[in-house]
Amino acid sequence: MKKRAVIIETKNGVIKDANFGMIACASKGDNTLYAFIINQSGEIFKKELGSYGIEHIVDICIDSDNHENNEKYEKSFNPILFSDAVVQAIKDYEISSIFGLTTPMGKEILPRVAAELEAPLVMDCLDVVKGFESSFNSDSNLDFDLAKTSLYSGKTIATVKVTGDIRLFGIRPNVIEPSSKIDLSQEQLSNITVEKFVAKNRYAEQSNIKLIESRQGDLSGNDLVAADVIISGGRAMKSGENFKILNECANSIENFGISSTTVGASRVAVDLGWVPYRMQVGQTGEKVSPKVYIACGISGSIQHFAGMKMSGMIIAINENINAAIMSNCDYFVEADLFEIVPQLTKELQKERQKS
Amino acid sequence: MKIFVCVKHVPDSAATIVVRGDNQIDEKITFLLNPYDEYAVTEAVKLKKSLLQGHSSSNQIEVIAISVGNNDATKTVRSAMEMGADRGILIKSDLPQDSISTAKALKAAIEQDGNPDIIFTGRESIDMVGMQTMFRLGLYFGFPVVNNIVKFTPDSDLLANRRVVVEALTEAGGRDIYDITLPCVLGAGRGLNTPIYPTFPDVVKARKREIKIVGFDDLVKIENQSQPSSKTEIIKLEMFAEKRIPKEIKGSSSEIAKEIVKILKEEAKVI
Ligand SMILES: Cc1cc2nc3c(=O)[nH]c(=O)nc-3n(C[C@H](O)[C@H](O)[C@H](O)COP(=O)(O)OP(=O)(O)OC[C@H]3O[C@@H](n4cnc5c(N)ncnc54)[C@H](O)[C@@H]3O)c2cc1C
Ligand SMILES: Nc1ncnc2c1ncn2[C@@H]1O[C@H](COP(=O)(O)O)[C@@H](O)[C@H]1O
Repeated sequence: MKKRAVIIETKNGVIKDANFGMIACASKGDNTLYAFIINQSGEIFKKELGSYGIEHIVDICIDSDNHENNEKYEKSFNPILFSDAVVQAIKDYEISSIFGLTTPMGKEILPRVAAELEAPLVMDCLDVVKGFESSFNSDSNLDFDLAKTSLYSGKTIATVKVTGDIRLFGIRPNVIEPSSKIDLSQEQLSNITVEKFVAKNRYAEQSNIKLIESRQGDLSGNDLVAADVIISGGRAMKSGENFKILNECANSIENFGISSTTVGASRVAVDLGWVPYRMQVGQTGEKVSPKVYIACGISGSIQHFAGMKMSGMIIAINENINAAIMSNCDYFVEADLFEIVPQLTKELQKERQKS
Repeated sequence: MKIFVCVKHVPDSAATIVVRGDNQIDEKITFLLNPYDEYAVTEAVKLKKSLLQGHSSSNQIEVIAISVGNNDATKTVRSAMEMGADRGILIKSDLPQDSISTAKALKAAIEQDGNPDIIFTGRESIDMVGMQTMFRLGLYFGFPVVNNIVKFTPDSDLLANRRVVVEALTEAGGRDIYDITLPCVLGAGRGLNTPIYPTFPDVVKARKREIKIVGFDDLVKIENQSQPSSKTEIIKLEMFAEKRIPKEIKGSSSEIAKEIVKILKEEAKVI
């Protein structure tokens, strides 16, 4: 049986929701599924991962030579060390396909691992499947070999054939539906294995690159790429200060406790210094696939669409009926966003009180 | 010091893409220098200028733009020279190449040209979004790689000390700061600098500079890897179907707001 592994991402000690769609994708067909957890105890996630079909959990850590502080394992996350640790684990467990998320962490780890194994890698996959030849020959050694991804600024969908003994896939967060959770019996739960894999620090002697500092970003908010609902502002916001009306609206959606909601921006709003770059949606920003994308005062340039066209539903609020976004959305409101957005926040709060 | 910049010739992000055959696009559209590679070229040229302000003479420091592409990619190499690269290399390939063979060809051509000190790339190509060429290139050379850098600080005596400090953008606006000894491969991210906008005299000057053309097959033969066992190939390309049919939400502000709430609740089920 094929062995596949998913690299699990956590944030503030919690498994990010986007992992579950990736697990659904990786667990299709006949295979043994491993979850690689990097630098954290796998034990605490046993029940949650098990209920999505994971059978084996491997927590990967690195043997530290830093014995001065009595630290047996490397504590901080270092992309170079941990990519190499993943390579060691892949070889040790004889994994043939590896799945990760196309997130800042995935963008560090997957290509480093792919390079070291000289294995093919497709990032930003919308789906991964078995090709006709390999599905025809079901007991052959062929595993997943076709990846769907969007190319040319999101204007095309490509099917990419992947050849190699080990294959890597970076899954775009949020596009694949998670499978429904199963209630595990005590027995099933106890069948899930959790192992620690202690990798060697093969870089201890290497002095040509050193991670000297890791400055954490602002991890308090929701991730743009993983949010269920994004409300974005463009040039029409006029200032950074005005983004607070979008924040308030996002909060009133978040308050229902159903959908993670966050605020995004067009490049213009970023270039004018109103909001940080990490909020930018588009070709040269984040590519997002929320269930609902609400664009406020955004014209809908090709480059903005390149980042959000995969959204489930697009609602556009714009004063100008001729703006491109008004003819390429699901709902449009021809009005001043400064009137509609605060009103929407109010109605959402009312609705919340009702329920 | 030899500073190489890998530049890719990509379709203009605003161009209308038409699919031809099973897996190709109609190439009769505008192609340009990949936007992220503009930051890479700019940083390389900036570095050269700052080194020239020190004691180095201009023939000691070279910026070389290098691309894998068809004949038309000469334009992109030329654009990099207009931005200040001293010369260019085109690794000519009529067929599109995946990132494994692209990195192999880049490695072979760079090595043939001389010992690199810094190789800049972009963070990703906007057409293929492989996000991996820099890592493969670094591995083939055995050089350290940092991608998505937003700050580059060379040692004040770079030629003697051969060290740089770079900041890479991580999750939620975080930064990983690395101290690197040359040679290295660095992928330029947005925010690293403001790309150079060439002036007319720059354009004229660039016309006189040399672009060396080498055949892809010759290079990859040198590497003895004409039949890679690991590869990715696009076997099918389809237009992304825009199937949205816009419906208008009308009324007073409060009616509109109520309607949106209803849609979020009943149709999108997000509240
Ligand atoms: C290589 C390249 C990469 C790029 N990458 C990106 C990217 O990643 N992301 C991105 O967003 N852009 C990107 N761009 C820029 C893109 O081309 C557009 O310039 C940008 O998206 C426009 O931003 P905007 O919609 O906020 O502004 P505008 O196009 O100026 O639109 C503002 C809109 O607000 C409306 N409006 C004004 N006042 C109000 C009001 N009170 N109420 C309601 N509506 C109002 C106007 O009618 C107008 O439609 C890129 C460009 C290039 C060349
Ligand atoms: N054909 C190519 N020619 C030159 N450089 C390339 C080519 N393809 C990729 N690169 C470089 O590698 C970076 C990342 O590309 P990619 O891995 O395709 O996302 C680009 O920004 C370029 O700097």
